Amino acid sequence: MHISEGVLSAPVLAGGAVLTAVGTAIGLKKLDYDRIMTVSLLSATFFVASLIHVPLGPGSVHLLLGGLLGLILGWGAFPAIVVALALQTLFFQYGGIIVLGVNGCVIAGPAVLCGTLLKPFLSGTKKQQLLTGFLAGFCAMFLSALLMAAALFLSDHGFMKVAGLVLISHLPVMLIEGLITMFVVSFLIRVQPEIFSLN
Amino acid sequence: MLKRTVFLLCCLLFLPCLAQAHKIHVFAWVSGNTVTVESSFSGNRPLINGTVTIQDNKSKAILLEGTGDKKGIFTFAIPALAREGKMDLLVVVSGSEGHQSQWLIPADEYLSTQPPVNVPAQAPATVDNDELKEMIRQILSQELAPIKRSLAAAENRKPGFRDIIGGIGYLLGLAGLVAWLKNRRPTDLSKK
Repeated sequence: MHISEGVLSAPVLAGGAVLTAVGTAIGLKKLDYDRIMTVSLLSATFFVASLIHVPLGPGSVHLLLGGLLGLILGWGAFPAIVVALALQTLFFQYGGIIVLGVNGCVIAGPAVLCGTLLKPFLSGTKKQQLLTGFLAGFCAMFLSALLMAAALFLSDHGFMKVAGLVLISHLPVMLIEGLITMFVVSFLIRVQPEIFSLN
Repeated sequence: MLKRTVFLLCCLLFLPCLAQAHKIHVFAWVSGNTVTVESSFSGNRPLINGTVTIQDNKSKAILLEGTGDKKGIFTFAIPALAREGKMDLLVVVSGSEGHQSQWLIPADEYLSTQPPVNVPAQAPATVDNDELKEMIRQILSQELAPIKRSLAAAENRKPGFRDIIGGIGYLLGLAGLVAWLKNRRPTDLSKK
């Protein structure tokens, strides 16, 4: 999920940087500072989850847990993910400083979107909660893969081929991500429902 | 309750630790007139069918292109053009999903070894100093290739336990910093 330096064209890089700056600003503005520790723990969760790479087919893939961050933090997921991505870039040269904007958008955008849209369903029945958890994980990963393919396409890399490859290689991860998010969400609702700040 | 959540989140952090980096590693080494390019994901998983492009580092003009094999290896003979222009060769390897990495071969590295064409057809009975030097250089570069390779591999180590814990520490530290700054503000305001 980390696009490397030198692959994307300048307009895509600039667009990504602007979107990420805006998203991070909104996220910081909306952040409830009493929850700062939750944000940082989830940021760390994302940091580690996206370091663990599972060999699959010709490439290797990793979890993101974007859906989980989105459900718990809402817009706060944006700064949480961007900070973790920045650390990964500095420590391990994953992605790069210049592509940080695009990578931030690709991962945090869908996380916030899925989290915000699906959150109301967490107040529903047990079945609804499980489904919401699964969908949050699955859809966030799906949209991230799609955005990544779009970023590569806009930089002239044959969309259909890349999109197909990215989506297929991430399909198993989407399922795993959906399942893990589902379990974590149902566990958290049981032991610590306040974390979702539901009414 | 909070304790249990923190515990759960911590468990999540340490889930499995089969770290396999998502970054392409490239090493290229010269032996004689050929250059071998090896590309892999860290953890020594070869990059299959990666696209290898050899460019002149200055003009970025593409000299040749190819595809790595199943072991992530691609070999090519140094183009005469590069030799004439004393070009630094930039090896760019890209995978299909937006991953790309590069390796620079400075001109000195291959110019010191002569292309095989330059070796005189008739082997002289006595070997003069220059030829001897050249032979030693070639043998050395062949012998040293695996060492260069493992040095490069050592440089590209995958994130270890220490890095991961360090990263988590940074994130928690940042949160602490923000919390501290936020807590200072109201008292400052009340003083004014």
